[in-house]
Order: sequence, then C-alpha cells, then structure tokens
Amino acid sequence: MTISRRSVLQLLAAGGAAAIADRADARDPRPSGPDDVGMLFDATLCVGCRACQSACKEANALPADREQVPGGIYDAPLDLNGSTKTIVKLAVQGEASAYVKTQCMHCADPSCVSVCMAGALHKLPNGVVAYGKDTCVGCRYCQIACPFNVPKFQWHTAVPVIVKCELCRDRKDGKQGKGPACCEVCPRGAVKYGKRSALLAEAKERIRQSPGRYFEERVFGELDGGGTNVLYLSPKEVSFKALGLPALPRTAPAASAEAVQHGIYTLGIAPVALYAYVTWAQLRARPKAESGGAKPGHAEGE
Amino acid sequence: MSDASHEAPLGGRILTPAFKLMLLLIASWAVIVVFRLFLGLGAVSAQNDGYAWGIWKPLNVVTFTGVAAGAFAVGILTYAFNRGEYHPLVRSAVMAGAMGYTLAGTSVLIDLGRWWNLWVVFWPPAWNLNSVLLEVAICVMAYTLVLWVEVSPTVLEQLERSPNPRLAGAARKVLPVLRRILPFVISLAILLPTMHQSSLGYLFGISVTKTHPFWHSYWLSALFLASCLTMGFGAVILIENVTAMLYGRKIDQPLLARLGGVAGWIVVGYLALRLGDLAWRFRDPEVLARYREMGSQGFYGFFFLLELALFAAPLAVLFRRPLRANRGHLFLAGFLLLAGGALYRFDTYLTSYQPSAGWSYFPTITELLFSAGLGAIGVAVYVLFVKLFPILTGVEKDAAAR
Amino acid sequence: MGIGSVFEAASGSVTRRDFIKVCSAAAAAVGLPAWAGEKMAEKVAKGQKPSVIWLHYQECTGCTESLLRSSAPDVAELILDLVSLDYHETLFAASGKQLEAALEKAMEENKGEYIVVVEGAIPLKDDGIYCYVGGEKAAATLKRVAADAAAVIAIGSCASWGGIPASYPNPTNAVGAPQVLAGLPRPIITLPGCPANPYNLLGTVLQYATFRSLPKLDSQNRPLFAYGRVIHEDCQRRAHFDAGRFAQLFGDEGHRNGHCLYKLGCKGPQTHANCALMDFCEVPGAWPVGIGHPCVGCTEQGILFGGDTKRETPIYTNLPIEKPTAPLAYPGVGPAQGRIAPAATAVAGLAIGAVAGAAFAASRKLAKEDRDDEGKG
Repeated sequence: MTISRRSVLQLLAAGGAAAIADRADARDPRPSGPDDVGMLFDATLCVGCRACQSACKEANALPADREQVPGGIYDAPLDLNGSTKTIVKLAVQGEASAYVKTQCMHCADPSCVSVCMAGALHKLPNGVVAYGKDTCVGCRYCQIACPFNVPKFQWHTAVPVIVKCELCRDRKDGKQGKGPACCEVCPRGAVKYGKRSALLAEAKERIRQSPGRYFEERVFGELDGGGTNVLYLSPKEVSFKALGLPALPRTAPAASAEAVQHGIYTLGIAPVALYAYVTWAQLRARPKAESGGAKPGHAEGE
Repeated sequence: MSDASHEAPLGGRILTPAFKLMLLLIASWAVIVVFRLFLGLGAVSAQNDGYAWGIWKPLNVVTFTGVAAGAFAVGILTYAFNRGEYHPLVRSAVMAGAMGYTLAGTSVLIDLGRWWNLWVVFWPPAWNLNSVLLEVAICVMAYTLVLWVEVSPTVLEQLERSPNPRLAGAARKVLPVLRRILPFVISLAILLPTMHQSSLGYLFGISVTKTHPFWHSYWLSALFLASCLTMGFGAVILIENVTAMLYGRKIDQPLLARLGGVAGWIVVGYLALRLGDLAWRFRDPEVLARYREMGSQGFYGFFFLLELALFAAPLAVLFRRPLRANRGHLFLAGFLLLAGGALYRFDTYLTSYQPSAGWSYFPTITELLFSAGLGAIGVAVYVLFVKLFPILTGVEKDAAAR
Repeated sequence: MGIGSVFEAASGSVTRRDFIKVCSAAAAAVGLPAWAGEKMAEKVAKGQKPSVIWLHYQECTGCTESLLRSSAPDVAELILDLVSLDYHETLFAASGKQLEAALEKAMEENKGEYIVVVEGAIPLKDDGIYCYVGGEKAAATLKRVAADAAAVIAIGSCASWGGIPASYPNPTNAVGAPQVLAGLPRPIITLPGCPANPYNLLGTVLQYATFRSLPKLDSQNRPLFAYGRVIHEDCQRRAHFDAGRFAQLFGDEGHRNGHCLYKLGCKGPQTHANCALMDFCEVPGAWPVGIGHPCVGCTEQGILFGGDTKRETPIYTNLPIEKPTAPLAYPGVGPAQGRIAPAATAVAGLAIGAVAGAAFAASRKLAKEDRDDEGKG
C-alpha cells in the first residue's frame, strides 16, 4: 500500500477545514413565516400596572412568588422564574425610565430549539416556541443557549420542568384559544397579540406617525438574532439595552452554530473515515506483531 | 522483580487510612445525592437560572473527562500511529479513563433535572440532530462502555488465575474472543472521544452574546480537542508518578519524557490556533463591540493570560531533553498542562459566561463536597483496581507488604 | 348667651357638641389642628362672622346644592351660620331690586372685608352679552364686586376654568373667574370639581374666618390640602391597580368585586382632587369610583370638559399615569441574583491551593531525587 499515514491525515484535516469553511453560511436562514403569531410591546404606552403579570399567573395556574416580600403577603417576583412566565420591570437610563414586559421572544430561529436534545422545545407551525415536558431531560442547555435568558428551571422540586411563556397555547382558565391573557387585559393596549407581519407593519406605522418618539426609529425583533415574533418599541430616551434586550447579530446564533456543526459532520463522512483509518492502522500492524514481536500473555491491541 | 513493561497487580492492603478517608467522602457524597433526589437541585447547589450548569459541567464532566482523556491520548499514539512503545501506559490510562468517564456520567445523571426521561437518548425518533449536547450524551455513554470493555481484559486475566475453576474457565473462554474484537472497540475508543471532546467545547458555540469574546469561537471544537489531549498526557505523567511515589513502582521516565514531547507539539498547535483565531475574530466590529460591552477587562484579561501562561510554561521543559528527563520537572510540566487545560475549560464554561446583568454564582460547600466525593470514588476505585488487577507496570515483588 | 344657647335658639335642634364637631371636621379638612375647631366656634358665638357674597353666572347651581344636600341634618344650616351670607340668588327669599339693593349694602358695609364666592363660568364673547344679571353683564359685575373683596373663591370647575359651558366648541367663550379677574391684587382661590366638595369650601372659608389666612395654593390657585395629590394616589382601589386586577367590562366579575376601573377609563391618575378621601354627602364610598364608575376627571381642565379650545377626553378612554409608583416597587432589568457564600469561597481557595502546593512540592522532591541520582551515577 502506497498511501502513507501522514497523507491520509493531511487529507482529513484539509477536508475538514474545507467543509467548515464551505458550510459557514450554508445553513439557510429561517425568517418568521407569513402566518406566525406574535406580540407587539410598546414601552411608551405601558404604565406598569402589571395586569399582564397577574393575568398570566391566573391563566397559567402559576403559584405566587412570595419570597421577596417580608411576611410573604403578595406575589412579587424579581425576574422570570419557575413560577413566573412574564414580568414587568422598570428600565432606567439616566433620568429617563420606561416599563418593560419581559417574556419569551418566540424567535424565528430559536437557539433553544436548536440545542434541545430531544425536541422538548420545538417550534409550532404558527410560530410559537412550545415546551413539552415529556421528552425533557432537564439538562438546561436551553438556558445556556437563549440569548434573552428566558427559559427558567424549577430548582426546588424533585420533579422540575422548564417554564416559559408559550403564548397561552394551553390556558388553564377555560379560555383556551383566545390568545394570550396578557394582551387581553392590558388597559393601554401596550401589548398586543396578532399576526407578526401585521404587528410589524403597525409598529412601523407608529414610528412613521410619531418621528422622534421611538428609540432609533426601529422595531426590536425585526431582524435581531434572525428575527423574533415578539416585537418591541422603546421611547427615545431609553435604549433597547436598558430594556434588557441584548444587541444580537442579524444571523441567528443557531444558524451560525449549526452551519459549522453540519459542515464538520457532513453526511457522516469524517467520523466514518476516522473509524476506518484507525481500524486499518491496527489491522495493518497486527500481522507484524503476530509474526515476531508479541510478548507471552500479551496480544498487541490490548 | 519488576518489569517496566509488564503489568501486574499492586497487591497490598485495601483499607488504608487514606482509603478510609475516601470512603468518608463518598458517604457524604451519597447523602448529598439523596437530598438532591428528594428536594431538587436547588437544595444542594447554588446553580441558578443565570448559571444553570454551575461547576457541575465544567468540573465534574469536562475536567474529569479531561483527566480521563489519557486513555484517548495514549490510545491515539499507540493504535492510530502504531507507536507500540507507549503500550505499557495504556492500561493505567484506560483504567483512569473508565473511572473518569463513569464519574462524569454519574454527575450528569444526578444533575439532570428530569433524569427519568433519559430514555430519549436511546430512542432515535426523539433525537434532535442539531443538538450538540445529544451527540455528547450518546458518545459519552458509548465511550464509557467502550472503556470498561477495554478494562475488561485486565479483570479477565486476573480471573484466569483465580482459584475458582468456574471463573477461571469462563475467563479463559471469553478472553480470546475479546482480544479478536478489541481492534474494532479500540477504533471506537479513538473515534468517540474525538467527537465528544470537541463537542464539549462546541456546546458554547451558540452562546455568542453571553460568552466573552476571548473564549467564544467557532473553533472551540478543535481547541477543546487539542487541550483534552494535552490534559490527557499531563494526567498520564501525573498518575504514573503519583502511583510510583505511593506504591514504590518503577516508571519508564524516558517514555514519559517522549510523551511530554508529543504533548509539547500539541500545545504549540493549540496556542497557534487560539491566538490566531482570536486575532482573526477581533477584526469583526461586532465582536469588538461585545468585548467592550462585557467590560471587566481586567478580570477577563487576567484569566486569559493565566491560561496562556499555564499552557506555555511547560514548553520550557517539554522541548528540552535534559529537563524533561528529570522526573520532577516533567511532573510539574504535566501538572501545569492539566491545570491549563482545566482552567481553559472552566473559563469557557463559567468564568467567561455572563448571562445578563446581575447574575452571579459560586458553588456551595455541598457542591464542592459533591465534586470531592466524586473524585474520591474515582480514586478509590482506581486504587482498588490497580491493587487487584494487572494494570500498572514496574510493580515490585514485595509490594504486597504495603 | 353661650354658644349652645345661640344655636339652640336659632335651629332648635343642634347642640353645642354637634356644632364643635362640624367645626373640627372643617378644621381637619384644611389641615388645621383640632383646637382650631373650637376657636372657630368661639368666633361665631362672638358674632365675628365673615361676610360672604355669592355670585352665580353660567352654572347649574350644583355647587350650592351640594352644600345644601349634606346628609347630616342641619350642617348646611351650620355652614350658613358660620358665615354671614349676605347675597345668594338661590337661597334668598327676595328677588329683583330688593335683592340687588342687599348686594350693594353688603358691599358697602363690609368694604374690603367680604369674601366673594363665584359659581359658574363667565361668558366673554360679543362683549359678554350672553349673561346678564340684574341688567349688568356678568364680567362687569364680577369685576366690580371683586374689586373691594378681601378674597375671591371660585367654586366648581365652571368658575375655576370654564367647566361645562367652556366645552368645545365653547360658543359663548366661557372662562373661569381667574381669567376675568386677571391682574386683580386679591387672592383668588379655585375649588374645581363638578360639584366641588363642600367641605373644601367650608375649610377654606373657616380658615379665613378664624385666622384671616388662606390655605397654600398650587400653580392653578387650588388649595394644596385638597388638590395636591391625584385621585390615583389615594384611591381605595389602588391595591387592585397595583395587583393588576381590573374590571374589563361594566358588570363583569371584576367590576362586581370592586376591582380597579382604570381599564374602563378612570381618569384618577391625572386628576387632582380629594374625592377619595372626602366622600360626598358624608356617606362613606359616595364618590364615583366608590360606587363603581370611573373618575371622569371633572376637576381638570382638558380632561372632561375640555375648556378653552382643547378637546375633551372621552369618559371611557384611559390616560397615561401621571405619577407612576415609586421605582422601588418594580424589579430592575438586571436584579442581583445568585448567592456567593464566603465560606465556600474560602474552602475552594484552600483546596486549589493545597492541590497546587502538593503538586509543586512533589515535583521538587522528584527533581531533587533525580538530580541526586544523576550526581551519583
């Protein structure tokens, strides 16, 4: 055989590098579908009444979070957690402030869905990012992957689940199918439910009608992180970052990461090749050992 | 008589004071596990929604398997590159590997919130092929099995000499079969760690905005692969010397020195890739913006430089034959390799990870005890095995007296 | 004659005790100490009652009626006994020239000392011909009467800034008393409301009567004791607002349970008034929100009746909150979470140190051994 070990390795390495380089942008982007539902939150309208927070707890039969308050007399969560799917926070930037409603962004190309081992987190046809505990092993990779830090875990129970907004796809208050409870109760129309495309158009119209009112004259979630189905508008003096919305690249993190992965493992060529090579190397060495070199009680290859 | 290339059981008392200490640690570990099972993870750890993996992944899984990667590293040299002279190191490395991976798997099992759903890992229709963690889970479980299969000849060889005729007979029947299929098992033992050790790094490929740009990279796979090899070599050097010091066996220093040399070259490759990738990535204004956003430049800079130092310092020994011929210098170099690899893993998983403003994490004492207990299990079982089965070379005849 | 006998004689049914109670309540309403109530009662007994001239223009007489319709019997009478009401078109039996003569007499006798209370808006369009009383234009009368007054109190939203007559399109160009009397060197107090709460009037007048001083006013000349806070801050249903419990529709479960009416258009968050604290007719809960209807913002110009050329806000449209809850009540965007136990830090540090130290020590030992070996052989 004239193929040297060195050349095979060189070939593998070159092939691998080429595969990565070639595939880096080969994973197609996945924008929101035309019928995707979503929400629009306008921070200039929100008055911080927290009706949405209360309604969410009721509609989802979530327990109150009483730890923050002395005497545990009322529900006052500090952040999204194992019993809170949406929360209203106060965002402060210098002298200006705004209220911000935080919950799952229902990304067009969700990182959590990409990393979930058995698809417990999956995207429904209508764009909602849903969770099913039946195939969830509780590995919490979704918590690591989500750029918005949305999925929360129940740390103090022996039977935990991951908790996050699912746009009330399964309401426990008998109003199944009526859309999210938060949008239903908002007195100011600060959070609205509807088709993402329509909400995006409305948001852009609001910006057009009131120049100088909105931060950066743009809608957060239109392109951020590959696009999200929950869109945000912020007042001019309060940045998206102050609202807790991170600066994300236009390519969804899932798309970039998967491109490299799939590049390396294209059609399973690399693993099979490596396995074949190592087996061949051992078998090639074997006859030599059996003919003259094996020590007693010792076979090569142990 | 001692034979530097022939394995034999160490013999000697099992229940030494040190062993009893290990048992104590293991007992406390067991108590922690019971609490976790009935009261949830929050009862025994400081893991929170910001730092969901705490030290459980970086320490119990990634560092322990890094130490266990000696099996992988030595295996590549011996089998893929057909360097038979490294063969005497294989059994000890494989034993440490089997233990390390078993411990990592145990930690994962206890760490999983809904561990009863582990069946999904064995049920292809449920698989999400985009998930790197799935690939890690499957490979790690398969590899643990493979490692124990690789350990089995040592057990069977000892059983062949057993006074019990049934056991001896069974062993004699199984061994030849085992030896025939071993090459195919060993190929798996090279393929599987290549896949999952690189994937363990790539888990953080998706954490673009939450992992500090010094550590986030699309080359994490290669970097973790390279560093697991250096850790593996370091671990082999360390374990050989430690068992020699404790049990008076002779080690083959020139062999270890050559091993160190190989490790040195891998370190060079690692450093080149790490620094080159960093320079290339920082040309992107978005990366630069994220670097400035995350702030704490002194903090991140310190850990980054410490890592580099821990990787680079051993080169002073590994590339100089007179120095690496010295057991002490090589020992220190091995330790630094292990420390550097471990720090790199810790930094990628924990130190460089900032989910959002406000989150902080430090393990509780129960978490530290858990890791210590886990390590104690590893040490105890390793010691048990090397005393009972032919794993270590260079064993002196009257080792039984100890 | 003692205080008691004066009133027993006058009303035949009010005791001294009741009277002092009313005075104390009025004192409390203005933020004066309890003993002020007794002092007021004394002054009255001594016959030192301030003269009040009450003018009516474009009004519904609701403010007078609210004064008269107090539920505790005879309080109205008491109020009327605490002041010397020298001119009032509704309450006086006389009319015509006799009434006008009474006005001139009162002005002359108490020159510089009387208080003018204005009820109703004053039209200015077409030189003010749209309101004549006794043959004289409203604006002219007001200016004339106010010129020699000690103070002017505009009671009700109409007199304060225009009220209902000033609603869009404001055909008569109705304005409030402060606008007509702009430039007059007399204190002008406005007590907006539709109607104004009678106790606000009572407190203001009594403070003047007893101490010859007037309450502190805001930029719109409203007494701070009554108009310093918005309804939202003192509302009994505020806890429901803070908990996000709203009535979604009239008659639904939330409405029946007394939940917050913000979603139905309550203007409480932008309306300065003390209705939540001072019920009407002395009946607890007798104010709009208390009986289940959102506040309509009747005291504020620009909310209910518009005023000037501003368009009014529909009753069932809600407004942004003027003063949101204090920041401490909301979590920040990045609250501090996660605990770091110093003990654990110490233990971890020690462990790492010990391992590193042991490794280093071992390496030195081995190095030395090897060097010695080399030296030997």
